[in-house]
Amino acid sequence: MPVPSQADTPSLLHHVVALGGRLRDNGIAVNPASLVDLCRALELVEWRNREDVRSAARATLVTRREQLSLFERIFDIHWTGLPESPEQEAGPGGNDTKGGTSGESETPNPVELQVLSDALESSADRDSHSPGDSAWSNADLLTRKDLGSLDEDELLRARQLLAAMVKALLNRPGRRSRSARRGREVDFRASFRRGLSRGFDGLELRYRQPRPGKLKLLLLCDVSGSMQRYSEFLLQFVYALRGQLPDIEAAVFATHMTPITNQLRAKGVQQSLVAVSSTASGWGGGTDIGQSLLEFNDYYDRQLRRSRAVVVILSDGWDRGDARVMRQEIAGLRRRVHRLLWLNPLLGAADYQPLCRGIRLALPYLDHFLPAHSLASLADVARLLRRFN
Amino acid sequence: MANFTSIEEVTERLSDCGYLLDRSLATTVYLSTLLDKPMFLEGEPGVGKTELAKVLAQVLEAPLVRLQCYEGLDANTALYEWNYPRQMLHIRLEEARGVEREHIGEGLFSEEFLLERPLLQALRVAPPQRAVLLIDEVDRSDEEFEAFLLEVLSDFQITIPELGTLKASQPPVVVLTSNRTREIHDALKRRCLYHWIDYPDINKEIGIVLARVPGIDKALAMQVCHFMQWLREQELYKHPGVAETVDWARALLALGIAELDRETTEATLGCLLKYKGDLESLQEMDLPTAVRQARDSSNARALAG
Repeated sequence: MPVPSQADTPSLLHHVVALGGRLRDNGIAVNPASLVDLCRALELVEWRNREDVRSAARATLVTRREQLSLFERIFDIHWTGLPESPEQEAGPGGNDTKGGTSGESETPNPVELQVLSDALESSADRDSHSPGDSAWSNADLLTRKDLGSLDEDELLRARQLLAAMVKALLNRPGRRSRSARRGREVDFRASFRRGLSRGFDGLELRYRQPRPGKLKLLLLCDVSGSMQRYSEFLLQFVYALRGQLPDIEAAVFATHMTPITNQLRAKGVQQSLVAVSSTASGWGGGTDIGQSLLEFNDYYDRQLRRSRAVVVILSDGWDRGDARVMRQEIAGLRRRVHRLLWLNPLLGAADYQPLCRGIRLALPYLDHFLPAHSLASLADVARLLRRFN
Repeated sequence: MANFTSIEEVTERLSDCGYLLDRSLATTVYLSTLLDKPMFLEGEPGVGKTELAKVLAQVLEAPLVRLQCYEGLDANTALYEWNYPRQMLHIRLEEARGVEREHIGEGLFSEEFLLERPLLQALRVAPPQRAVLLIDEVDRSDEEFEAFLLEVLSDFQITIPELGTLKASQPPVVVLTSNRTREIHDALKRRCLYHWIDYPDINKEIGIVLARVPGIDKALAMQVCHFMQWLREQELYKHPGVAETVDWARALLALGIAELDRETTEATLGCLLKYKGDLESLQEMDLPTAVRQARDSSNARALAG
């Protein structure tokens, strides 16, 4: 096994550092420690053998599969000493979230937005006393009102409802545990420590109790033309949820799915909604639920497979896409997640029948099919989410 | 033999034990054992990630310590635990012996009462032996557990508050596997040598079947592998891995089949596809043609080779 001689070492080091710099320029984060590892590795392989050097560099510098093809290209260029131009055009870093084009997107009415956002924000700042069940369980006429016609007070209530909903989400029992006075499983460690300090006679046992964990929530909101009356309001909910639950993902769809989690990071509801509407393609246009679900399943695949993911689809189910794709994708989604919910604003109408194709196809796969046209119905959603605990 | 001396030796000794690997993976294994850096193996289920660790242990004649990850896995289960019943007993004994109250329980947190869990166990294998530590499906654990792993895998030491820091005299060969159900934190990956294991190409897969299914006819092995390559090109929810190929070949061998045919293939599809939806979508595909093509191309290969 040839160890580079003293004379070679500086140039080897030089090469390694240059390769690291080139990878970094192309979006593959390489840190100095990895480069040191590569230097150590190159002392062990036949460093004139291109493939072995490549394997060593790949093993030490690459940390994910997505980087592999880019790495191979950069390595080849580096090894052969070709000019740098071809590698600049595309890296995996280049094609991130901003997939959609603004296209024919239609920004929500600015005056309405102002009213909505002021209401939501002021109540958020006020740090309202958290509402008990009674605060919204009384059969208030307002809560039955259709969300299409909202006033400021109702929005405040909506915000409070939301707080209860989020609280429910936060208090799910997790798989890790903490010590407690009651429980099913004896906590030997804690009991023993108490015994040491207080004596073992009449020892009071400690128990293990599940520590609250977080539910992973993913929301997919329909912003096509038929949903226009509701989608803006539902997005407000998504925004507010996002503010309190860092582990939430959101996307909108019409004919294509657009992730909006990053857009919702903007400060203020209004900026967020503007950002969302300029990102989402086909805002207010037609609907292709199957295609959108396909993209959603693909994009969020890994997160969906994490245990106890809850997916909430907000849509009226009007669909002009391929029915087969839709059925296949909703079935695929169901397999991956803990709970699948569909909130439908039209379900509030007394004479509603789930006749439109999208809903008929989806129904067998849903855990819950719920109305989302009024505050009362959203309150029911909050109660249901609490029951998941 | 605790170590390899060349990349060729890795390839050779592993293939002697029935594990075929390409030079790039062999290089990773070689570097990992010499640099004392864990390997981080990613790939679809059934491409032989776990198997590599098992075979490595066999080749190195080292004890295999396996830690299966799951959500909520914590330090007590992975690192160490105190033997409380024994400690309790010890105190009672001291009381009975009339040890003074302030001296009772003095030696309680010593190695005598320590229960080794897999990670600690792997670090404390007596030299000159070194353990092969398999941390399987690390993507199933949670972020909190990754943090535990960081200390263990970067310095091969474990800090036990009551005892101090225990350091491995001989770092174990560590294999981490992940099915990518979740992205693992970069800090952990950086401490490892990364390798993505792909599905094998047709030649390698035939080699694997011949190595792993003793007694199988070469023609049948080729047909099986050609069919598998076709199957992986189809749109399925879960593609079958090499483990499935081997299972299927074993099943066919047990049935005494000399040549792949449509009926047997249909009857044994359960070895390959584990989802109802996938079985259904296969019904819609042209299975007889696929079987025929698998036969034809392996015949052509046999003639050529």
